[in-house]
Amino acid sequence: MASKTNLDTLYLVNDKNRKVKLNITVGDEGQTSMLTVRLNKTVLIEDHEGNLIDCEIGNNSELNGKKLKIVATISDTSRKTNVTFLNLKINGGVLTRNYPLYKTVENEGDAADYYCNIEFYKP
Amino acid sequence: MKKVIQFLLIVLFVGNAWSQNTNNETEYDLLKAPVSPASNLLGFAQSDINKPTDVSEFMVSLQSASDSYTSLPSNYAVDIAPFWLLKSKALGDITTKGLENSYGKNVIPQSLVLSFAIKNVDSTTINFNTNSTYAGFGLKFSIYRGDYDKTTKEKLSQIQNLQKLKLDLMQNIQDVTEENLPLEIIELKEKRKQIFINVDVNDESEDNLALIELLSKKAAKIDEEIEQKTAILLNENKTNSELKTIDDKIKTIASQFQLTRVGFTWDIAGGIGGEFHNKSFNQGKIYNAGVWTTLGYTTEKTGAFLGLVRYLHNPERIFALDNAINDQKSVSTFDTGFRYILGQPQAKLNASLEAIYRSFLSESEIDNSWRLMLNIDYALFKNQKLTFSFGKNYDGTTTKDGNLVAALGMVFGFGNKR
Repeated sequence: MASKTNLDTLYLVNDKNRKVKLNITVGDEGQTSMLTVRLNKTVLIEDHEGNLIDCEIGNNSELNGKKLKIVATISDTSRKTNVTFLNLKINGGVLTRNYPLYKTVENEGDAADYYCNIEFYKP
Repeated sequence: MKKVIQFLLIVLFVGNAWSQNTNNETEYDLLKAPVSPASNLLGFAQSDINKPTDVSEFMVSLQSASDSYTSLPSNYAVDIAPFWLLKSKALGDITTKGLENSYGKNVIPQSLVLSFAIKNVDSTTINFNTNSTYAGFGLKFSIYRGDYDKTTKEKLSQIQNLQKLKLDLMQNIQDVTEENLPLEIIELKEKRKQIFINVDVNDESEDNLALIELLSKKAAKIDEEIEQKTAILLNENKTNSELKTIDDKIKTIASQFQLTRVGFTWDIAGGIGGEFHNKSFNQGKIYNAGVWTTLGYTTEKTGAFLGLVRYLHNPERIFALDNAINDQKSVSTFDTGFRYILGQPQAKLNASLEAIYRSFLSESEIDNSWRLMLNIDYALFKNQKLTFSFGKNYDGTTTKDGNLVAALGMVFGFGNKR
């Protein structure tokens, strides 16, 4: 079964003072998730359950060179599906980007672990 | 305990077998609003109702029923849950955390089921005209769906505590992997940055953003390469017995997890069935219709109480005439009733008593009537239930007596015993 559980990308920022925000949607129906978001070594969100809405990462102008690190685990507690997904959306920088990650676990109760590393970059 | 109950039920079955009056038309859960209102009004069995979970599955079922879209389906019943079928981007939080609330803006769309049915019958089917086509539409939704019960909350809390421990380990794995990246990956990351050299990110004109979009696609190819190589490193660092121990513990709980709700519930369902004489759209009339509302309160220990108010136009059966087929036509009934379910939400043994009073709104020769039913079921496994029902029909005017052992049966689920 195809899966994508690892993300490594650049997110372009500029000199504006606009806020960069992170949204994370977790699924599928009835799964149980937890995630932690860090900016370099600073923990922004710890042990968060379910979706993450409009998490402010910082201003464009102060993010160049910093790394947004996300770890998430989704346990298959749904008896309807074995699909898990983690959709990331970042906006406020140069472009709005969507990063869909997904995995269908093999057995009931299995976990899918997601690792994301997003580097803010101003050329 | 399990064996004793199994034995008692078998003895009960054998003891009554000689006098058992088989009644295939026995209704169970009289007070429960139908899951598929349109199909229920047109007499479809639950097993005949298509319940597609995605658009492609729906199209396949439609293709099969319509002879590859060349004709209208002749016998077809489908339940569509638009929220889950279309999987729109605005799904909201659909994890166990997001589904926890009993009411709110997402509860109605999440619980909404649209039910469609079309039926053509042959001469052996009772109560339907062979020269007519029947079509039905219905919907069902919950306003209050109840809160998670104590067991559900406890299991989720155990999983979450283990997930916290796991995230600590995962952060460590992520840091160790990043700190020890091989030169090959470092060079790829540098190459990726070079793609954007000389791009003015402060210029937010349409043309410049289109250019950045194009360059981002080029960078995405390097992303993939880095991700594949990093995934191998992460997996190597994951071979950590502590992580596996946590995973095993989570799996033990998560694989057995059942989401059960208690507290106040409120469901509404409605449907209408039409009869088209000579299979002509111009000769249509209302065949039957119904509106149900069920209010319930489930407790952790003492069981659940359900109350129902239901309006039916031309119901399939008349309780007062020994539950006979309704051949009166053009009758409207108003039902009120209750059901008390004794047993804890996730208990193996459940018993329920239900009573219903049917009054006739339209002029009819039939008196108002009562019906009582006792149901007992025992879950041998999660997908296998032994059921026992004991019902009594009361005719409003006669002294009809004799209890009826309505059914003792097994309900099997497919697959392994779970």
